[in-house]
Amino acid sequence: MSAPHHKPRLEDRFLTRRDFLGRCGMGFGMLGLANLLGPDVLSAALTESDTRSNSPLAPKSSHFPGKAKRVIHIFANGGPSHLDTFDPKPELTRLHGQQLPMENLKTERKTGAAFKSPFTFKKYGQSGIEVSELFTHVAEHIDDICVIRSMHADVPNHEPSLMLMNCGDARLPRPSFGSWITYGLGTENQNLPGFVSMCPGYPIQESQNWQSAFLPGIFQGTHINTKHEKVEQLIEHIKNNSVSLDDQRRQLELLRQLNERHARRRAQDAQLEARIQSFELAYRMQMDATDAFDISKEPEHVRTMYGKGTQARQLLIARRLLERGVRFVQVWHGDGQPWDNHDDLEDGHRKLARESDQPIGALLTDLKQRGMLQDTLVIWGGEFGRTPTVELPTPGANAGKVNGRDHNHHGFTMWLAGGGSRGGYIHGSTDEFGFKAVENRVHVHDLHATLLHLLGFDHTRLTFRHAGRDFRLTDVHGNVVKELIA
Amino acid sequence: MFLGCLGIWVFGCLGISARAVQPTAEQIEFFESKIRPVLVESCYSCHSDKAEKVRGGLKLDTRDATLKGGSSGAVIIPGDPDASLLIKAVRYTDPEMQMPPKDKKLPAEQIAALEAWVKMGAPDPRDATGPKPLTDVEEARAKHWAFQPVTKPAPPKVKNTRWAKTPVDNFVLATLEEQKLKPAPAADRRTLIRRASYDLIGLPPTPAEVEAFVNDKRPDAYARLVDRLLASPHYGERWGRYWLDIARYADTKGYLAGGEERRYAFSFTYRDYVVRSFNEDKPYDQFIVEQIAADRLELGEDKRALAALGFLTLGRRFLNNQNDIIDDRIDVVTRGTLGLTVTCARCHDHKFDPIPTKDYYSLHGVFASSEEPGERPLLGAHKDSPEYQDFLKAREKIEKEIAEFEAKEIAEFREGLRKNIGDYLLAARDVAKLDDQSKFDTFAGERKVNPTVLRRWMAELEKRRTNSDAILAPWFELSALDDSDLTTNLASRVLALADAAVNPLLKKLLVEQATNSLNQVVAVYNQLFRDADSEWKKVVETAAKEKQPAPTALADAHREAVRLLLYGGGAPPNLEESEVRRMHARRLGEGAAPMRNRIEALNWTHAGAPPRAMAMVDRANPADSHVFIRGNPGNRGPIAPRQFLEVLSGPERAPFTNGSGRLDLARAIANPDNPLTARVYVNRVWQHHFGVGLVPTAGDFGVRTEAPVHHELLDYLAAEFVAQGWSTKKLHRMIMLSSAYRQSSDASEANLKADPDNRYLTRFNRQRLDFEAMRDTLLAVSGKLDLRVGGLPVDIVGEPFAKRRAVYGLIDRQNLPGIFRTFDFANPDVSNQGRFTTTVPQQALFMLNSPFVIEQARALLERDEVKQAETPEEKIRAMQHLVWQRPADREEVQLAKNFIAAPPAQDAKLSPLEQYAQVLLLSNELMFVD
Repeated sequence: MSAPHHKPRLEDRFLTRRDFLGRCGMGFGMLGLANLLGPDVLSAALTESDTRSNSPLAPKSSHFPGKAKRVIHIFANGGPSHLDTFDPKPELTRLHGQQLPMENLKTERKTGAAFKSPFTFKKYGQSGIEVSELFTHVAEHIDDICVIRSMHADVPNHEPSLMLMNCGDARLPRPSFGSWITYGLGTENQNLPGFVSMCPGYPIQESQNWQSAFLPGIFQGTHINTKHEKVEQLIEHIKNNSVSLDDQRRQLELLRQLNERHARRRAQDAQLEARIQSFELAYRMQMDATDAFDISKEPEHVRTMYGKGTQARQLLIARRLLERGVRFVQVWHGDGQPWDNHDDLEDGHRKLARESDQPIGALLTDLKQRGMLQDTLVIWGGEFGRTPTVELPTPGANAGKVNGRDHNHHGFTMWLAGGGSRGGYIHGSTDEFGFKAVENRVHVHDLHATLLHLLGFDHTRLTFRHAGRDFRLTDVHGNVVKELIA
Repeated sequence: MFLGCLGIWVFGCLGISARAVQPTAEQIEFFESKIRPVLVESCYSCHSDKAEKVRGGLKLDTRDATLKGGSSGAVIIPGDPDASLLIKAVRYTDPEMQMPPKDKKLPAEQIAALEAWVKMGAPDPRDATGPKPLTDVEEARAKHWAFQPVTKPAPPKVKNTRWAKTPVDNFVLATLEEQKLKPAPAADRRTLIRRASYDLIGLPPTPAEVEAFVNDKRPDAYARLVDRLLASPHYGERWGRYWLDIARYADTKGYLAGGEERRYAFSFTYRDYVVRSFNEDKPYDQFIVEQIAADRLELGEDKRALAALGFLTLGRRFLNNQNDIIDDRIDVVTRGTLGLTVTCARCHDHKFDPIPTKDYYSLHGVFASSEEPGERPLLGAHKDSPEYQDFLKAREKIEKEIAEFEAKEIAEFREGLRKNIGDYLLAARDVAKLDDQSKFDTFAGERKVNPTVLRRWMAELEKRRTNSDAILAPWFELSALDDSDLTTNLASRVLALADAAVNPLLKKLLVEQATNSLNQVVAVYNQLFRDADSEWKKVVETAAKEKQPAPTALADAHREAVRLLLYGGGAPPNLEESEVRRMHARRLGEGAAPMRNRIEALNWTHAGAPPRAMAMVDRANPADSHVFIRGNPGNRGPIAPRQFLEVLSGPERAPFTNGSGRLDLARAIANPDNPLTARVYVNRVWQHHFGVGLVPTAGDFGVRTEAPVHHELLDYLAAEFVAQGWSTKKLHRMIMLSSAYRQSSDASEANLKADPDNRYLTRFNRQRLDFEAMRDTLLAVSGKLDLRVGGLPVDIVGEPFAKRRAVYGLIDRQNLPGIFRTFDFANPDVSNQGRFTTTVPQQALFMLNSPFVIEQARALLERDEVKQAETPEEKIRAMQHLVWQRPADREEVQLAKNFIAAPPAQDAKLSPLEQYAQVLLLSNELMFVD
C-alpha cells in the first residue's frame, strides 16, 4: 500500500483513511459498500478537498470494472405484448379463433381462443431478428439489441409485478434498482440528481417504483413530472424568483464568511465544512440542471430525429442527463398503465408504439453517434407481457369487447442494448404460442443479477444492513445470465 | 473529505469500527480493489461454489477455502509468493500449471498484485471476523451480554472527583482515566442552554431566556433550566416525535387498489397520545402495555389510552395482505421495544440470533388473533353539540346516496339478466356439448351470459322439458333440428305448431320472423321476453303515476306467463338481492368508494367529527398459527403456541392464555426482569442526547452487536430507570446533569487523535438540526411559529405555508414529499433506529430558493425587535441576536453593513436587509448545535 494516510495537511481536518473505512465499512448498513471503495475514491478524497467526495453520491468503484457506467430504463408500463412486438408466433395466426391445444395458463382474467397478432413481422439486420411493424425504428438497431424472449415473473397483477421489476420484491418496501445503483456507484455529476425517474404523472404504485426504502433518502429517484415543460416545475427549488443570481452570489459570499468565522471559533469539524460546500454545489446546480432539462439547446436535426410528443421530449432529456453523468434514468411511458390493452389491442399498441418507437430509435442512434452506447445500458420492457389468447369479457372491464390480451407473467420479452450486453442476440424462447417461457428461462431476479454484473457488481455482495439483515436487490435469488453479456 | 460519509453513518458506526482488527483497513482496501476483482473475473468460474464444476477441488471464494487449497494441497503460503502454487500458476512459468488456462494469462499488474498480496500474508476480509452466530437458545442465554439480567453496577472510583458530578460521570471518567484521556472543558452557558433547549423541546431558546440563564447566579441554575424545559408542553412534541420514528408513524395507508381512501382519519389521535404521554412522564412500562394492549386494560372513564393502539395499526397496508401486516406489527413491537430483529425468522430460523421460526409464528398467532373493530371506539364522551348533530346529518346524507347508488346498480344489473333470453336458451343447449365442464364459466363469458343465471335456465329448462310447456316446447323442438333441416323446413315446422299448445304471442313472432335459421328463433325469444318486460314496466309505471296500488300481474294471461319466467319466484333471472350483491360486489364497492371516502373525509374536514382510536381488539376465537414453511402461507408446518420468545423467557415459559395474548405479550416486554426492554430504551434516550447511542445499533441488540464500551453505564442507567419507576424525565436528568453531557463539543488536538470517533465520550457531539428542528427554528426565529399542541395533521409543504410545528405535518408514506427525504426524515415504512445525516446540495437549494425560507427572511424583518430598531446597524444586530441568540460582534456587523451597502440587482424582490436576513437563516451557526 503506497498511499499514505497521514498527510499532515489533512490529518487535522479530516478523518484518517482508517477511520473512514472503520466508519463506513464496518458501521451500520455499510458492509456492502466497504468492499466497493476503490483506491481512486480514497486517494482523491485524501489528497484534495474536492467537493465531489464529501457527498454520499460521490462516484464510487464497483466490485470489478463494469462495462456499463450508466443506465436508462425505458418502462413500457402496463405490460406490452411480446407477441405483437419482439416474439412472433406463426402458430397463433394458424390457430386464430380456435382453442389452443394446451390449457390456457392462469392469468389475471379469463382468456379464450388463440388471438393472432394483427401486426406483421420482418427480419432486420445481420442477425435477422424478427421485429414487428410497431418498432421499425428500434429494429434498425437490432444488431445492437439483446432480445430476451424468456422473461418470467411471479404473478399476473400490475402492482406486485411492478414492485418485483423495480425493487426485487413483490410487496415489501425494498430499495429500487436505481437506488441500489446510486448507492453502489454514486453519480458522476454532483450538480444533478443521481437517479431520475421521468413520467408524465405517476405510474401505478407511484413513487414506490423508485423508492429508496431503508437506504438513505438521497438514493431515492427524483420524480420529474414531464407533464410540465418548464424547468422550475420539473425540479423543486431550482430557481429563485426573488433573488437574482448575482445577488445570490453575494449572499453566498457573505454566508461563507460568516460560516468560516463560525468554524474558526471551533475545533476542526468536518460536518461544518461539508455544509459550506453544499451551498456552492447548489449554486452550480441551478445552472447545470436548468441547462440539462432545456432541450431547446439541442440542434434542430436532433430534435427532428426524436420527433414530437412526450416520449420524444423525455428521451431527449434523458440523453442530456446521461451525457452529463446522471447514473440512472428511468423513463415511463405514461400516467397509470398505458400499455395495458385488455381490449382494442391493435389500436392501443399501434398508438403507443407510434409514440415511442421513433424516439427510442433516435436515442439509440444518438447514443451510438456520441460513443455512449458502449457504456450506457439501455433496458426496455414492461412489468410483464400479454396472453396469446383473447381476453374474455368481464363485467366492469373491457367494455364487452373481445379484442385484447390479458396480463401474462409466464413469459414475456425485454431487451437490452449497449453497456456490455450482447447485441444481435435472442436469448431463450417461449412455447410455440408464446404463453410461457420454456427455454433458457430468465426470472426477473436473474435479470437483476445480470444487470448488476454489467455494472460491475456481484449481486450477492451489494448489500445494506437493515433490521439485522444484509439486504440485497436479488434477496436470496438470482443467477447471472452469462449469455446476455457480450 | 469524508464528511458526507461521516454524516451519513453517524448512527451506528462508532464503537464498532475500532474492532476491525484483522485484516487492517488498508489490507481490506487492497484486497477489495486489487485481489477480489481478479478472483471474481478470472477464477470463480471454475473455483467457487457457483462454478458448474469445481476444478482441482479448489475453491477461491471464501477465505477458509482459499487457505485450505485444493487436491494439490495448499495453493497459498502466506508471506511467500515464490512457494505459493497459485502464484506459480498465474506466472505461467510451469507449462503444466498455467492459470487461468488456455492462454488467458493475467496482465502483469494483476500478477504483481497477487504476489504483493501473498507477500503481505494474504489478508482476506471475506467471511469477515464478525461475531459468530449464536442461534442455540440456551447458549445464547448464557453467553450474549444483552440477554444477561440487568444488574446495577456500583459507580466506579475515579481520580478526578471534582469532575465527576453524578454516577454517570464516574462510569465515563473511569473509562477515560483507564484510556489516559481527558474530558473536554465544560461548555459555556450560552452553548449549554441552546443544547438543552434543542435536546428537550426541539426549539432554540429566546434571546431573553439565554440572557437570564447566563446571568442566573444560583448554584442550581442549570438544574432549574432542565426542569423548566422538561415541564414545557413542547417537550412531548420533541420526544414524542422520536418515538414516532420507532413507531413508523404516518397519516396514510400506502398504496391501495380500487380507489379506497388512503388517509388514516385518526392517526393523529395516536400521535397526540404519544406527545401527551411524554409530557405526563407516563411510566415507560405502562406506555408499552397501552400501545400493545390498551383494549385489555381497565381504563375506567378515561378512554384516551385506547389511542395508544395506533402503534400496532397505523403501518403500511400492503394491499391488505394480512401476513405482511402482521409482519410489520411484529417488527415494530420487537425491534422497537426489544431491539431484536424477530422478523428475520419469518422464512427460516434467524441466522445469527436465537430466534427460531417457531417463535416468530408464536407472535404471528397473537396478532392473527387480533383485529381492528369495525367501528373505531370514541376516545371520550363527545358533547352533543350542534356541530356533532351537523356531522351526523352530513354522514347520513352520504349514506343515503350510497343506498340510492346501490339500488340503482342492482336494478340495472337485474335488468341486464332479463335481456336476451334467447341467447340463454341457446347457450343452455350448447353448453351441454362442452366436453370439459370446468370451462363452463369461460364458455358463458364467450356467450356474454351470466354463468349463474345460465345454470338456473338449464335447471328451468330441465323442469319444463317433459310437460309440453307452451313457451318452451317450441324451443325444444326447433333447437333440436340440424342446420339443413332449419334452412329448408323451419317455416313449415313453425306453421305446423299446434295453436292450442303454443303461446300465441310466441307463435305470432315465429311465423313472422323465423323462416330459415336458428338465429331467427333465438331472436324471437329475445323479443318475446323483451316485449313482456317492457309491457310490465309500463304497467308498473302507470300505476305509480296514478297512485294506484302496485300491479301484481299482467292482464293478458299469455303475456303474464312470459313475464312469470322473468319475475316469478325462482324464475331464472330473478336472483335474490344478496346474490346480486355478491356477484356485483366489485362494481358496487368501487362505485361507492368515492362516497365512502367522503364519509371518511368528514372525520378530518368536519368540525363536529369526534376523535376515535385506531384500536385493536381480540378476536372471539383466538387461535395459534401454524409455522409457514419458508414463509409460505400455503405450506404449513407445526402449530406454534402463542407465547413469548424463548430466549427472553426460558424453557419453562407458559403459553399465553389471555385472549389473543397481546396483553401477556405486552407484560412480558414491560417487565423489570426482561433484560432488553430497559436497556434498549435508555440507549435510545442516550442516543437522542448525544447523537449516538452507547450501543450504536439502537434497533439491534442481537448477537451481532457486541457489548458496548460503556456496558456498565448502560446497565446502571437501565437499572436506575426501572428503580425510579420507568420515568423518562428522571432519566433525562440523570444524563443531562452529568459533566459528561455538559462538555464542550470542541475536540482538543489530543482527543481528536486518540478518540476520533468519540467512543470514549471525550467531548459532546456537535449535531445538525434534524428536519423538524430546522423547520421549526426558521419559524421560531421569524416569529411566526404557531405553538398550539395537538390536533389534525396539516400540510406543511404547500403554500400558504403552515405555521404549526413539523411534528403536526401530514405524513404521506406513499409519496413522501421531497423535502422530507432531502432532510433525512425517518422512513415511514419501518421502525427506525436513528436518522441518517446526509449533506447534499438539495438541502442547500431548499434553503436558498424555497419560498418558505424567503417568507421567513421577510418575516424576520417584521419582528418588533427589528422593526423598532431605527438604523440599519441596529436592525442587523437585532436580527442576528434573534437568529443566533447572542449579540453580534463588531466584525460581523461590519460584514453585514458592507453587504447591505452594495446596490441590489435592479429587479430584486428582496431588499438588501431581507437578503441579509436570509443569509442568517442559512448559517451554520443556526443549523448546528454545539
